[in-house]
Amino acid sequence: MKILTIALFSFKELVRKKDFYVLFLLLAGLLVFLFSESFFGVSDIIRYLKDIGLSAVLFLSIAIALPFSSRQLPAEIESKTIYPLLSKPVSRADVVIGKYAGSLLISFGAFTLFYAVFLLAIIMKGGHIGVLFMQVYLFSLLLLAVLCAFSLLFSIFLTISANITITLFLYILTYWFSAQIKSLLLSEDLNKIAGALLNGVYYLIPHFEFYDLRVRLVHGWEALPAWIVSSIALYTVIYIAAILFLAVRVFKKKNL
Amino acid sequence: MKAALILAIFVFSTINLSSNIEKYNIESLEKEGYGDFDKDVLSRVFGELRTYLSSSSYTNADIYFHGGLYDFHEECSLFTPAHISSHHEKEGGDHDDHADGHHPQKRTLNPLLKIAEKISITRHRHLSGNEEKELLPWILYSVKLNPKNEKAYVIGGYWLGMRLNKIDEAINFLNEGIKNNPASWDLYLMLGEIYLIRLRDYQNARIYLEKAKDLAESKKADRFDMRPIYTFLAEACDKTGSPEISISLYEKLLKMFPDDETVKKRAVFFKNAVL
Repeated sequence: MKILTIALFSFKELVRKKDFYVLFLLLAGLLVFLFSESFFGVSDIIRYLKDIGLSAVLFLSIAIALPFSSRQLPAEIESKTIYPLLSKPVSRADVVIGKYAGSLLISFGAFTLFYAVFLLAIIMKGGHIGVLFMQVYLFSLLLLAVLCAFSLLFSIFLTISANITITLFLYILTYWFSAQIKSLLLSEDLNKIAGALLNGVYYLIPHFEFYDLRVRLVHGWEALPAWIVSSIALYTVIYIAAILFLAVRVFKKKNL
Repeated sequence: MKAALILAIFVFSTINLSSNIEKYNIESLEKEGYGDFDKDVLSRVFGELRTYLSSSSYTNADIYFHGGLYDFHEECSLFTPAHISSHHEKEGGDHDDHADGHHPQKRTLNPLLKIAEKISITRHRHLSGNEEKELLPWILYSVKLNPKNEKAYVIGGYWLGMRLNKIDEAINFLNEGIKNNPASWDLYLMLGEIYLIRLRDYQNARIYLEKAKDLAESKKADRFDMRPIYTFLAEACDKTGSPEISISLYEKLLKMFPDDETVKKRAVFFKNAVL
């Protein structure tokens, strides 16, 4: 109940701030522009709309999620509202989890609205909405959940701008390097020590590439089997639990 | 305030840099297709970026052709229209998926690696039939961003004219490309090819192919570039009542490809036709 109250209080920020409305209008404008494009009089061209539209939806959702989640704790500390909050029967763990839940509400809410507009554009263009669209929705939420968790953890000891930069770097770098590490691990010419080391790194780093189903969606590949979807969901839950556990530990030790 | 100051410095530096570029080597940059530096401030600021985005857009068309994969063999690339036509002819235009098994890989116990393997797409397939139109947005964006991107015009002309049966659009698109790239023999070649193969308008085909030949010869194009020009021009000349030119073109081709059986056979065919 305490966590829910903190989360709902955070969510009100989304409604109050103008960021969301500006980004929403930006997305709508982009989709209208893409929708009205004509290519040599050929009709029913849709993949470019899926490609650019989905990338924009993800980009704008991250643009909402990261600043909001990275502001949660520092804003409370800076404005000193954290003291009355902690003087109530609320533990530091409750604050961290509540703030995380608030970040999730904000990110998921924004993404859901963006995605709905995107789906509307696809349907109006004559596209078929299948199972893969559901998987993309689910995986995008999981991606945002991991990013929010990292951002919340970093917000305990980094400034807001440093936090956003580092989280974005982490996202981009691990996205790129995961593929490199994977191909190294699968190659035949790797000695045992290097293999063990790389395996360790591979377990440790977040696998943002798991959540990217854009190629499948845009180019009409088949949907993922249920066991893969559940495995990735389970992986995400475990990973987020570990980050939040770390965040609670760090926040408990922080001098306020 | 700080951000506005940084932005102002960035814009000022970029304009300053682009005017310095102008002083030194504008002509060479324009020849290489790096945008029109003699245009407005926006073109100057975004000149390089436009070229980069145009190339990315073109690469995207190639990725679309391969079902979303970028790690494909070069011989299947969209970059070579002559290849596409022979490739599609061989495969009947309906290309199958084929395994990308050129990397030796070992089995793994790491569950994350197994998941990564399952979600990544390791096969690739080519666009076929009604799907081929999906390339068009990226080709159009590519030339809109950089009208000097002649490769994009050639590929666009090929897909419109030879694959999607949009012949009028292909001709207009290629003519626009020629207007922006008057020294490109590839564009004249593609236009000639469309007139020759799709419209069977041999007179016009000959005009464009002769122009392609003149431009390519003046730029000392290599034998592989000359081959399709001579081949198509020989066909067009034969159909327009000049078989002696076809024979002379095949004599040149024989010097370039002395061991090529197809060239030998075709040369004999033209000689026999005259006799």
